[in-house]
Amino acid sequence: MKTRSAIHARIRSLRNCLHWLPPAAVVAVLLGCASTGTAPKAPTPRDDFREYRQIVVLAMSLVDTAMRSLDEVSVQANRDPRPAYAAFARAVHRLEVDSIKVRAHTQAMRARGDAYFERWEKYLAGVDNEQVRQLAEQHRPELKQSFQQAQVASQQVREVFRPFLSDLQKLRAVLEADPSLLRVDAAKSLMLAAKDKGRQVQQGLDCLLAEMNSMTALLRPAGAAPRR
Amino acid sequence: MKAITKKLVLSAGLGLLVSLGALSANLVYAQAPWPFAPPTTPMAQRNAMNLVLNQVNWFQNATRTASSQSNNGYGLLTQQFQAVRDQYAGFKTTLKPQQLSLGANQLAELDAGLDIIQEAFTDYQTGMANGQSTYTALANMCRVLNQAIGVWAREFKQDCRQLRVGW
Repeated sequence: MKTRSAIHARIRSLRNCLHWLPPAAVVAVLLGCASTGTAPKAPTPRDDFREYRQIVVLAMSLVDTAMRSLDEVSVQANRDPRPAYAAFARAVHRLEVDSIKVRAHTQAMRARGDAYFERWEKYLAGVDNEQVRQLAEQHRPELKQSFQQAQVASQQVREVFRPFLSDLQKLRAVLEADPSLLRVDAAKSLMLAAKDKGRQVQQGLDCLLAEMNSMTALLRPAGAAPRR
Repeated sequence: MKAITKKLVLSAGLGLLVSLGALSANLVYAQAPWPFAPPTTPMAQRNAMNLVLNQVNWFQNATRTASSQSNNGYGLLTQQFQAVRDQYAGFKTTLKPQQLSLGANQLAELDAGLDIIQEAFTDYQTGMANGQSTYTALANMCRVLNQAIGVWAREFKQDCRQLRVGW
């Protein structure tokens, strides 16, 4: 009898303990949710400046390849023109696809104007390297000027790029069926016009790269090796 | 006397019902204004991002099949491309102000990217006007669109990662 009452008493005390279990579980879950491991992290700003420079370099190589392949079409016209034409068509296709990034950047630069540069400034103000942060603050006017010149150059690239690509597409269509000497000769004026526009695009890209390089130089800490 | 009391109770009850109805209508209006503001929760962002990427896949599939349907191909591609634009516009509405501000340049580039890709449709028309056959012009356009939207989608994914979309 004594044992039974002792067991009942233990069960009662256990039940009393169990009353705390649901709230304790809720608290535990809430604490788990508040742990830093799963907390949403802040967006990371993009290194716009470095990325844009890489895109400009890529665009320069694409335009150079297209221009060289166009030259090759006229050089090979009196021999076997097919391989030269195929290389030219490939170069135009690559230009159509891979130039999207540089064209999108230049268009966004124009659309956002100074706000585009302000994003770069904010990024530079928050970089880990203290020397770079200080250099960005110190050379703010020069960086701004370089950005404005880059904007002008990108505007030039934007204006000439589309007519240049359009000429190349026309040439691709004209020479597709028969890239013989006769056809190439007939398309001579279109070829010259395309090359002229291509040179203007190259000049614009050269200016853009020069401005990006001078910005890089301004932000390079003393003693740091230049990045290739 | 009893009848008058009954009438009074009835009219009071009716009045109470009407006023409650009007109040609840106001409450409903306050809770769900029209047009609905899109949610900016991580789940909503992930869903919107996946919808964009799925639509890109549909569009890429369309570019693979459109060159064999010379008549309907162009129309099909324009429809699918417009659907990509619509999904992307929907995605942007799920972004938080901080993401919109920090990713303003990236979003402007993505917008510009779609505008540039759309130029391929004009190039197709120009190619035809320059004497290119429908088949070749459509095949060229399909190839350009397929790869160009691939480049765009890669940028989109990278930007989503940087902007912590869905986190």
